[in-house]
Amino acid sequence: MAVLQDKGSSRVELHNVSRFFGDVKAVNEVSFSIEEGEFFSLLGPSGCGKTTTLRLIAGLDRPDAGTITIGQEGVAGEKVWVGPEKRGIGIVFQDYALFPHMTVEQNIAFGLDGLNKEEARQRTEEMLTVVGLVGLGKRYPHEISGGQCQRVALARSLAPLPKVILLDEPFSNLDADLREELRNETRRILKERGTTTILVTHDQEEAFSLSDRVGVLNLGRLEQIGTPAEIYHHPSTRFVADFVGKADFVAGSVEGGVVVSDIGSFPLNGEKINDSNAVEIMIRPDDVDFVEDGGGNATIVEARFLGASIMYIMQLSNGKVLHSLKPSTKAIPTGAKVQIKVDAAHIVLFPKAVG
Amino acid sequence: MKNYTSVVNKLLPGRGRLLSLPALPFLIAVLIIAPILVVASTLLTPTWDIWQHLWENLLPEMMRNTALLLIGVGVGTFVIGAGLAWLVVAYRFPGQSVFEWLLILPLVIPTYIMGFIYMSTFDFAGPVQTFLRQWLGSSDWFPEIRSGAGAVLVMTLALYPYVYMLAKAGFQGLSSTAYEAARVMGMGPGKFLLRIALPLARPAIAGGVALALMETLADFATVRYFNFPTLSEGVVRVWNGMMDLDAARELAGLLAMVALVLILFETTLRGRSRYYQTGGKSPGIPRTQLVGWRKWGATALCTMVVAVAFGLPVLQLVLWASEEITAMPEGTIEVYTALIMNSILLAGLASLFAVIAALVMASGVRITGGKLVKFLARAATIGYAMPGAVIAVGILLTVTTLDNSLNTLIEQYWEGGLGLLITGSIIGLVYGYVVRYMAVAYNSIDAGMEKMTPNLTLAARILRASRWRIMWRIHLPLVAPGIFAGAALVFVDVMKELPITVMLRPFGYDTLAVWVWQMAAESMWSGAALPALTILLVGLIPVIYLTRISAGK
Repeated sequence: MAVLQDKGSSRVELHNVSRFFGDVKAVNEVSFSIEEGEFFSLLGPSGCGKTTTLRLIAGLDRPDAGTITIGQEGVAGEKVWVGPEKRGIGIVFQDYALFPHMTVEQNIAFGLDGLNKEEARQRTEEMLTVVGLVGLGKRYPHEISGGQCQRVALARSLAPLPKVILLDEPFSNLDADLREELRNETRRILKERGTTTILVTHDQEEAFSLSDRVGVLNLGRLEQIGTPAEIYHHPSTRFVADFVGKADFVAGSVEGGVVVSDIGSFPLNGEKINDSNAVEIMIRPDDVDFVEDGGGNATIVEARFLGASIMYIMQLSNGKVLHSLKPSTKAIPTGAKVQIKVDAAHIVLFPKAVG
Repeated sequence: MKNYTSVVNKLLPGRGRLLSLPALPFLIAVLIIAPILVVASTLLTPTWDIWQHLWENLLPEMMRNTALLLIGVGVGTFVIGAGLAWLVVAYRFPGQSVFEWLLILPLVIPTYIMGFIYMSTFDFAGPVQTFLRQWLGSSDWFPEIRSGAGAVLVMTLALYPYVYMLAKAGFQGLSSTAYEAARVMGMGPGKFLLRIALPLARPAIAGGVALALMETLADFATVRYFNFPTLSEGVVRVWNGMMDLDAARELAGLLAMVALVLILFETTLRGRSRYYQTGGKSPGIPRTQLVGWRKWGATALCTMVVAVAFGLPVLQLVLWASEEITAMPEGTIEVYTALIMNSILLAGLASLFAVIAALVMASGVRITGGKLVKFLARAATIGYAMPGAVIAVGILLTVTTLDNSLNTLIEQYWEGGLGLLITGSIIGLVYGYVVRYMAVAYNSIDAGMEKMTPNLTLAARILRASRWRIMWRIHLPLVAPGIFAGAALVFVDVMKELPITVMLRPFGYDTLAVWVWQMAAESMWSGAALPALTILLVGLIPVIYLTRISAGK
């Protein structure tokens, strides 16, 4: 039984992968490839197919169509099937799935069956050091905290030196403080070891702060794939714009190569949209600025104090609402008249949805 | 393509692995349900002249008695069980924490043991009335203990712990926030009990009352002492006394129907609500300190119940036992040893097979998750609600045909044959126990399997564990406590069991329970004492286990 990985490539590639449950297309012709050592996130709302995709990669489920490749080897396809235990992967489940009747050490060593006793002991010790749990090896899962359980689950999945680690919402059961800390530590550990990682999450902040690249899934389809900045600033679909971060949508139209709207006119950023076409302009709150101006085009109706920043909600003269995020160093009272300034470099245009 | 996928999917975890043969759970379910179904179905094809005969002789009285007994014990156990549960959960008084578990103890005394102790103590020749006659000259005014009221009293005392335990768990599950919310809205503790606590604990209380009523319905020995024949008593009398299997079958069919009505009653009362309210992490309702006469009144009430339902019977048994020990005839030890060995053998075999059957059913449900298997498992647990007399008749009916043909077959090869292989041996008896108590093992094992989430299996698989390793290192250790608990509970239940044993035992094959019953029926109290005490001691095992569970959580 090969426990040690061959230092071969650990790319993961999905090609037109589909999985149907009856009439429901849980995963619909999804293709992407993840480079060796990359930290990749699948992001989407619940029911978007992200967990199904993860299970397909793990080999816990089989695609109805398409192929999956890990390293050089096809693991799932029309006439190809490699069982989960032979894929060289590790997985951390949302509920950690620690064996409740085994100690931390026994849990970590469970996957080290192929090593001799001494090697297994050394590897377990090493893993305890990596996740910072030295001294807790003799405890049982119910005797340690939730955060420590998560670390044990990570250590257990890393112990057999897998090529790829799959994380199924592993931080969602933790308190906010701990979550932040464990996320950063998990990324550090995985990056240091150069392990290819796929994280499934519905939390965009989590996906953004951890990942090299993010894939956004909706209703089984991959809507967009890119770096966090690309996804945030240049969403390719209305869904991604809406799902990732706060965004306002303002109606406008294209006249003579320029977008005209209630909040000003913007140049077309090289986008090919014909004249007199209706568009929707996506604006992020952090791209909206304003100055106090008695004769301005909007009124502040609400100011939400968020700590470092304040989210202002402004009403335009036509009743439309726009959000603006500004540092909280200076507070502007509600009711103030303001003049809006939008950073034209970051707006994104979508053709107006029909109907 | 589709076909191909389904073939591959069979190799995947969660589908079709490990005891996955649906045939096995199916076979076991059929074996368990068949005897009950055979009995119940006799009502569809009634034999009219038997019914006419029954109607003219025993039936009206038996039906009336059964109804009165069920109503009496139902009301009695509800009032005592739920009342005491509320007292120990909601109030603080001297001895409250001790009474909390002392009040469970009568559970170890089977009704037929409680019954003969009460009868011997309070009937005309008993010590109480003798004493009264010595001092007052006459005891004619003393109520007749050999009556329906006596039976109701004794069964209520023996069975109220079922209601008490479940109601207590239900009341303890109430969250303090619900209590505080009610108090803030102006409800006093009394109103809280009626408007919030009782409705919320209703499923638990209904479950307890249903358990008590199932025991009541199954009892034939106690009602016989008290001269209050019921349907169960009728079935045993017709079969054991008159060897009239046809009449026993018809009567058992009727009895099965009553049991089904009871099950219906329980499911309706339980409704769709879960057994206990999920109180979250909030502590239970705060206890109110009782003051003044109420304080000592509560202590006195609990003391009285424990004394009457546990202290007196145990004291009486110990007295008889010491009489017996000082003047034990030659060979008594040997007789008792044989009784104990028989009881242990039967209980051991029954718990072994019940656990095997329950394991197959439970893993069938977990692994295949199929609707049919789920339905079968549910159906197979119905045995627990069935009176032993129904099961015994069902097994006689099912197995006799098989037995006769088996005997004919063997006789062709073996001069004289082997006799009736199944009904004439303890095989039929063990079969009956498994039908009745598989549900006990099933619930226990299923609770153990609950801990075995699918992700555990998947995690082990991804860590490259083989199927054997997963079974030995993951599945078995997780389910083992449930298996042991289930086996122990079945063991104790079988030790106490009477109707199935009396009806299906091979001729001359005595157990502790049968011995107690026979001695008691012949008013040889001291002869029954030692075996009865043995049964009580064994019965303590699950009670300790139960209190440890409720204390641990």
